[in-house]
Amino acid sequence: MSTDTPAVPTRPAAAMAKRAITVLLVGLIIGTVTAFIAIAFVETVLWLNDVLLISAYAKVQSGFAFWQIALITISVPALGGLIVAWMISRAAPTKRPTGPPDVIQAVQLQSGMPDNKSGVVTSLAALISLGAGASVGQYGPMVYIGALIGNQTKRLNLAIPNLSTVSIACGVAAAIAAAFNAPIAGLIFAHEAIVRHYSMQSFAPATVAATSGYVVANVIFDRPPLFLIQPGEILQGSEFLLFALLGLCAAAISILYMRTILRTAKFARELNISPLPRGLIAGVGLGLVTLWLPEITGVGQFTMRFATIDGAFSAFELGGLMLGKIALTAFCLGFGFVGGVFSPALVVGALFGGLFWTLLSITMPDTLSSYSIYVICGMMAVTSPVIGAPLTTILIVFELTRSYDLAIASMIAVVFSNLVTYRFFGRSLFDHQLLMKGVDLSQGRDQARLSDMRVCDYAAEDAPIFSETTSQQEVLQYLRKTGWNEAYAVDSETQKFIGFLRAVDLEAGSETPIAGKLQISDLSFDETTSVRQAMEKLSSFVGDAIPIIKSSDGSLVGVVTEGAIIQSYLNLAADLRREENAGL
Amino acid sequence: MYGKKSLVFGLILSGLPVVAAAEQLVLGIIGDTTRIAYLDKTFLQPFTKSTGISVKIASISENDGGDEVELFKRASREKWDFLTLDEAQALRLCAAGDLAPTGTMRQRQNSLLPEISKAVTCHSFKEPRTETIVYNLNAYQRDIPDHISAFFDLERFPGKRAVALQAPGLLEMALMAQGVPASQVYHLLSTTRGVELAIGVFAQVKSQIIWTDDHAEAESLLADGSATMGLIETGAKTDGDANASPESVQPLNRLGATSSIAHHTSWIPTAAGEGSVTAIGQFIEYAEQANISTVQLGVGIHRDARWFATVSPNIKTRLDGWSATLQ
Repeated sequence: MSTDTPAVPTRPAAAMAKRAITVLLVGLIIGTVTAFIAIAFVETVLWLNDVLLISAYAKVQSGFAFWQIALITISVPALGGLIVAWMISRAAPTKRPTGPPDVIQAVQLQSGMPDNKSGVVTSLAALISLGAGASVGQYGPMVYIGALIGNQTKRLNLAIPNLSTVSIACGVAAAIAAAFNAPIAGLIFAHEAIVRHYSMQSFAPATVAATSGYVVANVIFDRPPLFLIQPGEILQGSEFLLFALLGLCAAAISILYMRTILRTAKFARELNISPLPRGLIAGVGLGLVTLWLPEITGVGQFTMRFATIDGAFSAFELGGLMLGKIALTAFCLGFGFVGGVFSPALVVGALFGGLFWTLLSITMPDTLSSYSIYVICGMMAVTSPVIGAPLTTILIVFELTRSYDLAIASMIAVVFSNLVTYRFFGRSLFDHQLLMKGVDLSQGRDQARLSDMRVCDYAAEDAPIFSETTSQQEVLQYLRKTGWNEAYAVDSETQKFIGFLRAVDLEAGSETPIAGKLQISDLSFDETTSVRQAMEKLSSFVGDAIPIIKSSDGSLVGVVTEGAIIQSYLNLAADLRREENAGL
Repeated sequence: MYGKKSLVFGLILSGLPVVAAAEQLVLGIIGDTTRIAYLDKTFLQPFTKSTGISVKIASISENDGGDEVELFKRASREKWDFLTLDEAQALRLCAAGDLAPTGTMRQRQNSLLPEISKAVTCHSFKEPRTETIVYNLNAYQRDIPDHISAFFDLERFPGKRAVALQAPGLLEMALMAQGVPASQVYHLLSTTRGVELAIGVFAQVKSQIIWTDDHAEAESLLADGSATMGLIETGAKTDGDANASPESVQPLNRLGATSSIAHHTSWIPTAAGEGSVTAIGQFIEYAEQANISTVQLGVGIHRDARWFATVSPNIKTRLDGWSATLQ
């Protein structure tokens, strides 16, 4: 008798090498293409800002009179709002802007990305929104563009499992690496916020993609980093308590920011204004605010730059601009402009960090570390809960400043901010938006995917379903032939489910209809019941199968066995295990 | 009666002054003695040697070079063939219609896309120039300054700073010292807040700045140890040798790769001189092929001449007010 352990199935070395090279090449190509497009996106926004006289630089250079500038400042966003509203309502098949939550959903539930046309229209709408000076972010659209580019590998017949997830991770990693000049942060963001596991199969090509993005952005185009500061050292150990306090306060700002965005969007929906007038309102409102407070419009990169410099803003200005930025971003996103939430969060966080330091310096002069340390901590502590990526934000700080002290200070602030935000809001704005769509990722990806699986997809094909007029003999014969112990009856005219019967209750050879033998089922599902819901209800169930009844008319869709539900769960668990442990 | 020989000789003699005048060009050059000497040695003498056309330099001090309209009038009055102007001054004169446009399209820095409008200029050629911050190696032996922010950090890097009053890019330097990348400097300076911030940065170190009339004076203060850090012109030398001046007694070193300000001087044909069209053409042709115009500007910030030429009236008033306080 053989005592050999079962051989682990292996692939030939040549096939493994071929697959590894293919996956890494996919990473390289997606990373490079994404970086070029992401940089083109940013450059086009800057160009539009100059051409459309949105930027202060362009206004100064134009030589126009004040009234001409005022007219342009209102009419450009108004026109931009109209165009964006038209694009989303008429040209996008989804009739709504797509964004990072769609990417997360596609990867977590393996449900596929929204159609390409919606993605392209959304990206162009974001470009116009940003070009017209809307207070929205550019990183969200860049992440989506990266995912969109990565998703195109589904057209290729490469026979690589999980290729879609891997490719999307590559696109997202490259977009963030190019945007921030931070390849490690790009790599981690793709896994922390989107993929949510760290398998070698996605980690290796995403590393290649992130590095490609960094090389394109930093070496070829010499893009300026998000911030260039000389933070110095943390003066006193006790300041770490202050960073924790900063994190706690940042959590409140972060929650305020996210709640304002969600509530403004809800308010705008409840107004029941059609898209075009709503876009016009957004544009005119933005234009009027720009006349008064240009610092809070647009991506906010120059306001953020000012905010990193001690003395550029007074405490009153820091506080006012912070609240103004939150309100205007919520207004722009709620009323129809398209864009992300990352960049405005960075601006809000920088202003908050500056305000925190300024207020502290009144009571603790000469004992605080440099102003810029608090600004960066505030920036990351407010932003990380919004995007649900604490590790990424810490790494951005470390990669951009190379300062160990500042990275640790940021880590403290980010962790405390996330702890509070997670408790009172959730993991991120993206997850919250998904939850509002019915996708709950808070219990883990297995539970989310179980929630996305419908029991009706696992209905038995040979289920014994008969009309109530069928004879007992006929039913009994079928049950003996197929091995079922129960049969399910429907009304012969309406096809409504009317009960079930057990084989032991039937009389052999009887031509009497089964109508008299029917029992009421204690448990039933409908066409919307998820596998997760089904499993929760199965604990007290005894029997062959559970009927699935159409909620609209009571007709029987099918029956699902307990075994089929459990098997679907086991299959999912095996799929997830394979995905999370997959090598190249 | 005169013979045939006398007639020919007489004609030659009468023509000589015309030929002699055509073989000399008069150049109005703004700059200190160091700059004039540098230009003469590296550009004008080789030109004369190569073409036989002599040049006469009308030297204009940095302080007298501020008013481009007055300078252009003087060029016409004194019959200069060429006038050097700061690029922003040339753009302003050009926009005012005082000069014949030569139409050159400019590419925006670090951009994938060209400017939507073509900036018309009126120069014959542009001369790249670089000013860079240097420091005295003896003054900072333990803590080596390696970033432009060191110039404004008196606590960590004490000592006098020597800066010429007319040095270009001072506001730009101030913002870059605060961590503003070169590509964003002019966006910030386009706001009153940005200008005030930059001026404020200089205000913090004003007690330690020695304002000099020109770069040569700043260089001499660094050379004799009166100043430990300063802004000096490195001519067309944009890379390589760190030491700024061979005559320097004190060992000087560049502050860092990004602490340089690159800008252009426009060489404007005045059409008022007595140089022949051929001689002027030869001069331009020689310059276009010589190191004087072909050298690539190094890293650091490139002064945006168009910003200075068309800056809004309120910002210009503020800048003029600030310049006046320095003097």
